[in-house]
Amino acid sequence: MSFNFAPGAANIIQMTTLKLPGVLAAWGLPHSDAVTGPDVQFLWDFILGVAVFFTVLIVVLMVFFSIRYHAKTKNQVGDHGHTHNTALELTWSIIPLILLMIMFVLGFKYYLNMDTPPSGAYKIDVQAKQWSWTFVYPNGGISDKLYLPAGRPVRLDMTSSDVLHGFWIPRLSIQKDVVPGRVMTVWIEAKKSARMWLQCAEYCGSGHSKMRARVIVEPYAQFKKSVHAIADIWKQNGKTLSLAAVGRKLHITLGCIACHNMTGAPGGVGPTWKNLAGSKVHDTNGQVVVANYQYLKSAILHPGHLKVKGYPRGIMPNTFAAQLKKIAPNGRALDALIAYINSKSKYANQQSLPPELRKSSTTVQPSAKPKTAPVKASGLPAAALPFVSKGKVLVQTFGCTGCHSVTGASGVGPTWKDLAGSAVTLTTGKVVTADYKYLREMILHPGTLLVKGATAGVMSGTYGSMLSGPKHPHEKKLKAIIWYLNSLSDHANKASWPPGVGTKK
Amino acid sequence: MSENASATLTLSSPEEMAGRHLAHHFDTPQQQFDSGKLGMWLFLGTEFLLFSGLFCAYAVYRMLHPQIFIYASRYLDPVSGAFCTLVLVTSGFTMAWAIRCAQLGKRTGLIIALLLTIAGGFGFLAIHGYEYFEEYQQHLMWGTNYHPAVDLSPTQTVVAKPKAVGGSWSQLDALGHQGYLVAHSNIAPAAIGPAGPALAQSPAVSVAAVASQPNNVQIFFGIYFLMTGLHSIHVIVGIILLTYLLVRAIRNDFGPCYYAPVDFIGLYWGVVDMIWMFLFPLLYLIR
Amino acid sequence: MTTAEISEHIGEHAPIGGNYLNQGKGIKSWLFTLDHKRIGLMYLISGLTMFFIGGMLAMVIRTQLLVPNGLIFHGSYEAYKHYNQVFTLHGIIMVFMVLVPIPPGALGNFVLPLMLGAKDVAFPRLNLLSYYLYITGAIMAVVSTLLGAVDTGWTFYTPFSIQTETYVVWMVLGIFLLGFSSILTGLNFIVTIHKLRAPGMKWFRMPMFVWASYATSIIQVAATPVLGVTLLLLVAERVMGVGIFNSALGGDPVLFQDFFWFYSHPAVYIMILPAMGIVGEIITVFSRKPIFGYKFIVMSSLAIALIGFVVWGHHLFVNGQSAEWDAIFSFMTFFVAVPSAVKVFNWLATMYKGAISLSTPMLYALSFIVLFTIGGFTGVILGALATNVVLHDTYFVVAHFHYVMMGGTIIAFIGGLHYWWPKMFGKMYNETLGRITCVMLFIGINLTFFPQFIVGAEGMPRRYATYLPQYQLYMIASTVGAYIQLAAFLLMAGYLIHSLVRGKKAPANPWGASTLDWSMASPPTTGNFQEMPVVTQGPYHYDDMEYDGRLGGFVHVDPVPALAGAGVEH
Repeated sequence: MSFNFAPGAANIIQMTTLKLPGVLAAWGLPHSDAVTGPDVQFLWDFILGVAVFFTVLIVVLMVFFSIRYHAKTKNQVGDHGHTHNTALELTWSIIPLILLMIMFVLGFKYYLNMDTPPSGAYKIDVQAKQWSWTFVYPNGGISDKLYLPAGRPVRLDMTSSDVLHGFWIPRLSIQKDVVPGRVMTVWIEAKKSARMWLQCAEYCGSGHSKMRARVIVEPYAQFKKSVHAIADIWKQNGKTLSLAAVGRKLHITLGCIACHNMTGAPGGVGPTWKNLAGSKVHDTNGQVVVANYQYLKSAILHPGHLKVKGYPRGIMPNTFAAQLKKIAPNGRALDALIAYINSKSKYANQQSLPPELRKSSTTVQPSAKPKTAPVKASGLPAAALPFVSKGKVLVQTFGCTGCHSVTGASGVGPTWKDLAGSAVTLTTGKVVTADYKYLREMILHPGTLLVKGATAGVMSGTYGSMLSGPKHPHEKKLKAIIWYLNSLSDHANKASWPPGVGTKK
Repeated sequence: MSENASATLTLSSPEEMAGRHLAHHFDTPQQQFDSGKLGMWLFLGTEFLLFSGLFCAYAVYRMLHPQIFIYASRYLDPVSGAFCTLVLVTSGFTMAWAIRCAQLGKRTGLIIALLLTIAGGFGFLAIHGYEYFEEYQQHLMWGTNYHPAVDLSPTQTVVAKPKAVGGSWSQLDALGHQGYLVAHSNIAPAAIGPAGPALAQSPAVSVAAVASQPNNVQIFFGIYFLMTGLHSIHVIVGIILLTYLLVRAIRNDFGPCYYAPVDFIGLYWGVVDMIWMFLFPLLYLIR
Repeated sequence: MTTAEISEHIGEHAPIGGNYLNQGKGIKSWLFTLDHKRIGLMYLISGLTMFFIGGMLAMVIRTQLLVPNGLIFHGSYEAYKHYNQVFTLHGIIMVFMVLVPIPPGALGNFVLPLMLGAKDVAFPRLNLLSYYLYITGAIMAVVSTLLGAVDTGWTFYTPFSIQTETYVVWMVLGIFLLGFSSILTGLNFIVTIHKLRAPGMKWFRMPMFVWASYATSIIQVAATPVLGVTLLLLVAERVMGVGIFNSALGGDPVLFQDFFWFYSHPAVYIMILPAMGIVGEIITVFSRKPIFGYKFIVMSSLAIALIGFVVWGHHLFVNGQSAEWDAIFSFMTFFVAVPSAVKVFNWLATMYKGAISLSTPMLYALSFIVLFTIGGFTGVILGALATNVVLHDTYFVVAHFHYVMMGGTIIAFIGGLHYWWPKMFGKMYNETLGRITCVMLFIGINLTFFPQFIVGAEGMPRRYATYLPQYQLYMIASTVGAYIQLAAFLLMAGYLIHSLVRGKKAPANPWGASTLDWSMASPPTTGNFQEMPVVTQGPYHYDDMEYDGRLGGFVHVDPVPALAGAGVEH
């Protein structure tokens, strides 16, 4: 990193000389535009008054005693008569206690008011993530700015999709943590039009200090116009958006995001949308289908017909067709969603894109749709079976089957059927056995050994870091995949088994 | 406890024995013993507090998601839990016997009692280890490792079956996220954890079966493994300490005037027993 | 260690004129020492080293914040991450390696047995183990930092601490060991105070610092195990993916916060109680008057220790805790302020009609009173629910706890170090430089942290690598203050080291203190007392001693005149 001392120094000098007087003039809580502001201000003034009084009292007494009772000689001793006075000590225990209790009661009373949303408040949803805020208005409009009507209570329901965040608008006297897995609620009523900052107050990682949003308080009529403008999903700040950007909005507003994440994380209610478009999808009959445009379209419109392996039918609602049609009767809303799914997939191709976005005259590699055979687990040690199933899941997660079939059918990469333990011919002409070491090497460092007929660089070299990054080795995952490979092969033997399970016992 | 480099096998008089073990900064053996005992009690207090965190976690999750606990605790075997309890209680008795033998200076009795206590510790670990192994096989584990009843192959299937009956949890399911999730939000909250058992992997299992599982069952197994795991670590430490006592008992270090180590480690073993007395009903029995 | 070595340590055959520093030579006699004074000294050196490192990290933070976009780390998330690692390490070092272990570890270890009239702490071996656990914990923290540091903040809030790719596990295990060390120290002190008091040392004849250490030890023993299990659970989250605290696996991040603060709020009292004890000792000695309201102060220490256990929820006012709990925790927070106030008033009353000399330790004690009062009152503002909601997680909070921790604990610790320095090393330091340094520190601390109150109330959140331009002026003032503090500490290091080499030889009792720790030669011998002291009166009585100009210290006048109302007789 570089140091920007020179501009820094100029800036510091400018600040100290020009702005000092104005800054010193006002200190204390910032001016609050919220209806709850005066309460907080009163409590602050009260406690601060008491604090200043006692601090001054203590300092004055301390200085006075230090001077008045300064020892003149080393041998001078204090007045041993004053060692305790119960009445006095009780007095200075009870007076602070009474003052503190007043502060407590006031604090609690005002807080209850601040904490309880009034009924009938206008509702806005807030979504926090590393490191941005998204606001969803009741009409479906989405914005990165928080518009608030002056003089009307607003209720904010907040969720976080990753870590803790802190919703804080100092000038509206409100703060609440946004805890992932919960819906956190605050309410605000701003008194008059103003512009201010919303800042993240709960530490959330590298971008914490940049996680802020503009808050715009407007008269109610103007506010309605602003929100109406936001609801136009095809535009943002007056500019027409790309189809994929519109799809991104829909992904949130239609609630797709709740079940289909874009991060590739496993364990969602529905399959992740990352790298979905153009990839191969296993259905419950063991069939492999390619997630092209037609497939995605019918999946969204008729989820009842879906048969995706690993995901039970009937969980996904079939209401999206009507919702999308309502947004755009000509089907463009659906296309927008599919465009967005494509924009997040490395397998995206002309077949998976909406027709509107396709380039003309591009041929697409035909994809094989062979029948798959059930996993063979015979001959493997019983203790390895959990690994096999884990490996199977991993293989689906990483999308290995996009190139390597498990059925013997040809694909971009060699089939995994009967691979483990078999003899493989390399480009050098050498024949090697596909034992554990070989399989491991091929997954971690594709390209170092090339199988006859293969081209270097086709297989991504990132699986190594995905499985066993230098920081967090995940040998377990690698082994699970290789166990799965073994379960597919009739040639599997102890040499091709991963070490650890079965071989030692 | 003091140095015993000078310890010999000759029988010492009680005074000599006590004096030999008196550290330099104490005035009397009694002061030393009292200090040790107070220190040991304080230490055991911290042991309870260490577990208290886990008990609190248990209480909080039980309050928030009773249906998980009712559903999942059926997968633990109360019979083997009861055996664990029996073995530990017996070893607690033999430990008390060992302390008495040390106080009376009965070397043989002390050695036998210690051996029995150690055997009890190993017995407990063996029974519990087998339980862990079964749970591991059935994927009744914590976090994302919780995915029981996966169809591994057409022929071989390890399916988790409840080991105990009773417990009606389905009507409680609705309570689960009360106070957590507000229904009328436009944004559906992020999925809360893995969707429970990976039954969906098997085409034979219907949607209804999946829907009837409470969410987040893995939380129960997380708490179960943490509580019993931390306890088992304490049992292992106890066995090591008991072995140390055994070696010293064979060397004839203890007698009526010096038995503090036996007494203190006996207290520790008692606490280990007692913690299990809480774990067993909380995890295995209460539904 | 053999019996022969032990007898060497207890100094039975020590030559006359020897002391604990030179009885037993060679590095091994230090590394394997069982002497509480040597262990205390090793804590002191380790602690000051950690304080230096933590302090330099603070300078990095302050330098970064001179300009809104960051002077050192700027322009990318990667750079901000480095800033986050710096403030995380600053917090971890200062809290877990300086503030919590060092006042009991260094001063407590050295002084406590001396004050009680004991030859050592109850379990010397455990004491040494405790020190080495501290060192091991610190080393693991260093390892974590060298591998790539931690960027979670010292609070390790989940789920961020589960997701971040930095080396949390190493750091957390290191802190687990530090916690274990803290538990053993507390346990040792409790047993020592219960069982090893000199004949006649009744409970209410014990000095203030012993009472404060006792209250501290109770918290150490009762709160730290919960930190231990919390950290173990965090390790289980990262290594095994247990999911108890991870919302992505159905767990509850707020539970982590409850667990964490159940320790970490009482830990604040672990930090401040010894400081209060030190200040009590200094004020009575330099006012040459028995402490005012001895029993009230004692009871207030115990009250703080006990009530301190039920206020942790005030760290969770904005995270969705129910309003009922908010009210209970807010109430208890106000309640715990009362004993603190009582202490301050009693110290002032001790000065009333005293014979005050403003020596260096006394100046530190007076600085403590001012800074602690400011820190305490801003704590009251934060304890009130309505104002807390506006000020939570802002620089106001940062300023508040730095006033209490830096202005309170560190200032009192430095004061205590100056007070016991002659006893520890047998050397006097330069009094003039001592006073100048104290004034510099007082100014530096106020200039550093007072602007942070304002900037926090104006709306600057804590843990920000960059900030909005309107806050810059306060940030500049704060940084200037920090550099003044740095200069003061360097000056202090200079004259203290100078005193070790060239300092005047210290008399047995340079300040005229009446507690047992000043009743033997400076520095003491390994066995502490040549003959067992017998206590016949309260800890503070100043009219039975006289200043001896030739010695430069005070000596007892024999026979003790039976003065009416002398000392705190019980």
